Amino acid sequence: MLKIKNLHAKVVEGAEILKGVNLEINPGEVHAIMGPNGAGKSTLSSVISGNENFEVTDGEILFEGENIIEDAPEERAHKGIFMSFQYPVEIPGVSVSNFIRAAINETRKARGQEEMPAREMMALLKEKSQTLEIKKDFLNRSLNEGFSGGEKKRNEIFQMMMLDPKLAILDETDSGLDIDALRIVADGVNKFRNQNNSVLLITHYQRLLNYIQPDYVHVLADGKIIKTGDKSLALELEEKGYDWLLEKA
Amino acid sequence: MNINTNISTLGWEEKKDTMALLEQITNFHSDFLANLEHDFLNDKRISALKKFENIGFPTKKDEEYKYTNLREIIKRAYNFAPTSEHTISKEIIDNLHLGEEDFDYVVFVNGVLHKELSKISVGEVEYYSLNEAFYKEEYKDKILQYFDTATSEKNVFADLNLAYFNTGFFMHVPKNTKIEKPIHVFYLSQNQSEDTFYNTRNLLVVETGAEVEIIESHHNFDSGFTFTNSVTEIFSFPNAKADWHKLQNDSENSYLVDNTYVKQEKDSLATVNTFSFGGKLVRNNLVFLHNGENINSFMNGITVISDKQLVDHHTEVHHNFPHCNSYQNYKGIFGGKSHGVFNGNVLVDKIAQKTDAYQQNNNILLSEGAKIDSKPQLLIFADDVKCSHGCTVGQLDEESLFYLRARGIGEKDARGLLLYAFAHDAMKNIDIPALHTKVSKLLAEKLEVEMTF
Repeated sequence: MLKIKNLHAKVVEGAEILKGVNLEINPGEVHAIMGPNGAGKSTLSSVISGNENFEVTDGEILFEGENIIEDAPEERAHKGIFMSFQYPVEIPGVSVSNFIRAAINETRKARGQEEMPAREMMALLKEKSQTLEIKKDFLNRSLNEGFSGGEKKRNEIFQMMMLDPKLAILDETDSGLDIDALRIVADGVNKFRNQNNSVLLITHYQRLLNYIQPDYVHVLADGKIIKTGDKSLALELEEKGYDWLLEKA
Repeated sequence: MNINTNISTLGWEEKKDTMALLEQITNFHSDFLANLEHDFLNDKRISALKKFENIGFPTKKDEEYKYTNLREIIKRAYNFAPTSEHTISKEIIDNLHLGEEDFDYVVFVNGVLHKELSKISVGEVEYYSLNEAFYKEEYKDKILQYFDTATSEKNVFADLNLAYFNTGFFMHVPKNTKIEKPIHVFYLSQNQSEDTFYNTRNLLVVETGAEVEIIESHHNFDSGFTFTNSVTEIFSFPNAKADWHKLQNDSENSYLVDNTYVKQEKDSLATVNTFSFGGKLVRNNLVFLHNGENINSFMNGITVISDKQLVDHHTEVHHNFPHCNSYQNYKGIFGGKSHGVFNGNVLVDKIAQKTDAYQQNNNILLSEGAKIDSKPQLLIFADDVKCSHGCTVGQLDEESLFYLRARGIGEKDARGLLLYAFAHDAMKNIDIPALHTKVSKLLAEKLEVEMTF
């Protein structure tokens, strides 16, 4: 699904942040990337989704065997990459349902498909919103405007489920969530995952991983993956912190 | 009227670059008066003309016109007496509607009210063209009670309008009458062979406890220019609600100077929304006068222009009484070599304690050639007030753009969507869903955003 080879990236006209990342994610797998603040976790997700504030200076990002480094963010989305934002943007005057409708139909258009019929869209909106315990009037509210932190994150997961991507990157989706909201969001992700798609969780804390069981846990520090393990590594990090790994590296 | 022939006999064609309009204004007035069907305003009209002549058109040396050069308007010569012949049909009017088929509408073509093209379903309300109402003895006195009592002493365009107006919309909403449907007043200009000068004049009286929503728009169908100098007086009595929405979406061959005065009595509410998308040069002079306590005044504006368009908003709110609120929210999006001006004045009298005045002007410049001059001003003589004002000028936020693109929305559409969201905030005071949809559609169309509403 996703293969990252020796990825180096920097802020445009700024410092290098990713210093040779290697990562391979296969269909059906859930990977978690953990690491201290400033390690480059959010930069990695931004670079995979094509944020133009960052420049790739070396290496490759292969998505289904194809190098996507030159692709615009919308082209990556059309190919099936989704990122849940840490800080979703407020768009007054554009309702949640209209926004999702636009996003789905733009993607279908790019793939040479017809727009999704209105009836099918309505049924899908209803089904997915029930999974996430989203009320009907929420769909008519302006996108993210006046949403609480939890509502914003839940809305991100809702969009993910509606768009049904091949690769979902969840950037600090657990931050700002109370325990009930965390459970609902995790339920959504667990219902989303299947043998054909992949999930990349970016998180600072182990908490989320109690609810979403990863197949692999990676530690990113100073722009490199310094350790990879299974879910027990997350528990070890929770207990010992990151310092013991940083000293070793 | 033999005004058309005067132009050639006096040889003004050759002098077009030397303020042709000013000379026409001086020379045409006696003919204009001689052709009017009423003469009881003649003294007022003559003294207004004198006042205008003494000062003349403002220049860039005038502080209030520092950023707005009127030269391109006044160097032209105009036909003052448009032909009334036209080929405007019901279908053409239908095409100007945008989801507002259910509204009532009043159609003026070439300065003449056409009731056969209009649709008014309210029975208990008096509405006329202003000149028509003047000829009716029963309305004349009522009109004169209000006419020209809210206008400002220092506006030469109001003087010019008084000297020359010969068309306009008059409506009197009786006590406690709530008009359910908004009324759209169309001013169309068509079939004119020369550049044409219109002085339109509107008068709206909303009595105690009454409510009405008016929409006003001007449309030039010809390739020649129109210059419209419009004066609107709105009177809102206790517990009345008067809303006036200006849809300035005219062709690139049009100039508009809009002078709107709103006089409010205690416990009244009034809104003037100005949506400026079209026109070559638009100057809005908007004045609110408070004549009682517990008044609420709302002013919203959305300007989206490009090419070499200019839109200038000048607002004045006179807080003359305690416990009144005013709210101003103006958004501007400027592309090409367009130019925006915002000059907002809030004047708080020393007795106007507990005033709450809010004024905000936010702008986005889309190109290097576009510019905005923004000057929010407060003049406060009371000591217990809450006043805030501010202005911003910026570009689109790159992170927001990335968010939309990461969801699969292409760059151009994503920009359009963000601009729509930026401007949308100033539409919050439109409380009629159909009108909200109409303005949203116009805005989306102007920004080339595809949306289902």
